[in-house]
Amino acid sequence: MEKMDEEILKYLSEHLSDDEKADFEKRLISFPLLQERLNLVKERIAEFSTVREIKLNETYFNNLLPKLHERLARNRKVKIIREYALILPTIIVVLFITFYSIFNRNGDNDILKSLSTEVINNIDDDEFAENLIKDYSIESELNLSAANGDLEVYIPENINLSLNSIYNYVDFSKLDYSQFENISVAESEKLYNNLITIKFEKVSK
Amino acid sequence: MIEKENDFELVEKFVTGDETAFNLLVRKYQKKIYWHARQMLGDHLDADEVTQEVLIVLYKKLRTFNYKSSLYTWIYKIVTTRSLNQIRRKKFKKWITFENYEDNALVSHHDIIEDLANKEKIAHVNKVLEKLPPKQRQIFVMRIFDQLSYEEISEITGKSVGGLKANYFHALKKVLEIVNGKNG
Repeated sequence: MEKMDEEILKYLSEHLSDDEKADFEKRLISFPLLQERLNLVKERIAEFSTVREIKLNETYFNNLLPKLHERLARNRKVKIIREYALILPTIIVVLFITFYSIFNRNGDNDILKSLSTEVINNIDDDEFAENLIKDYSIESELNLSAANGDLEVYIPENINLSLNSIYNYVDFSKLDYSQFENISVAESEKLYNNLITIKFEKVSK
Repeated sequence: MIEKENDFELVEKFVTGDETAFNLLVRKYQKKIYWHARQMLGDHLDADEVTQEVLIVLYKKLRTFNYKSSLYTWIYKIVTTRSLNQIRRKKFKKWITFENYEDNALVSHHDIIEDLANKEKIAHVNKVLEKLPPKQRQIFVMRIFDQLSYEEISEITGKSVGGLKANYFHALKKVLEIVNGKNG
């Protein structure tokens, strides 16, 4: 019986070759038992196919579409929130960087002002001059204005010092020019020589 | 063929912005989608989840439909893939939680089959189907319930017709053994 069932199932699943199929169909005519068994197997399988005739609650299907549109609308909202969730931290980071750089710039300007004052008051202090040179790296942070012609008067003639470089050290709004006049030629040369080893080039006039 | 053309017209309308065309497609296919998912997964809650997922995918991806196959085949591909994924998810969940889904009371409370005789009938079918490995269950559902040809199933699953016939044979054999009381 098992062998017969297997052959029947191969026939039903179209798993037989053309020759095997022809032979099987021939035997169906000559062996009523085989036909009977085939009908029984078909019947058992057919019992399954009637399941889809079961009546389903139509309310579920009527509600499916509104539920679907509701879900789609919710998905759209979530998508928007996700996009904003990405934009917001980006804005925060950009603002942080902006404020940080502005704050730092102010900090640099404050340092410069303090340095400028010290330059004026302690220009003959060797140690301070060295520190000043070290701190000169903040030069790149400064927005240099056009050279102030008035200042040229106070720079000793034999010092070829770029005016722009002087602007880095001096807060001109608070500058007491008389202090410059007190700088001796030797002190000025010393400062210049220290500066030139780090950043400056001698300007030929 | 007429049905295929109608589907294409509805897709075309939807792609050009007519939302009612989508609603018509949903109404046309929702039961087929539900039934396939239901027989693959065995209970209403899972079938409902997969049905909604499939309809959402349909809404989002319909614009990418290339008209090479019938819409019905395209939808089937989505349903059958999602159903197999859901089976894997359930299996994994069952494995990590040691939960016994057969004893889950929720299954019997949430159903859209109200008649008791029908409930018993579908429970009997589910009991047989759940004993089949997923791939055999898939071919059995497609052949017996969805009445699809091997060629259609091959297009949906990407499997060869020969392989599908072998799978179906083994599915039938197992079902018959269960029905005859030799297995399970």
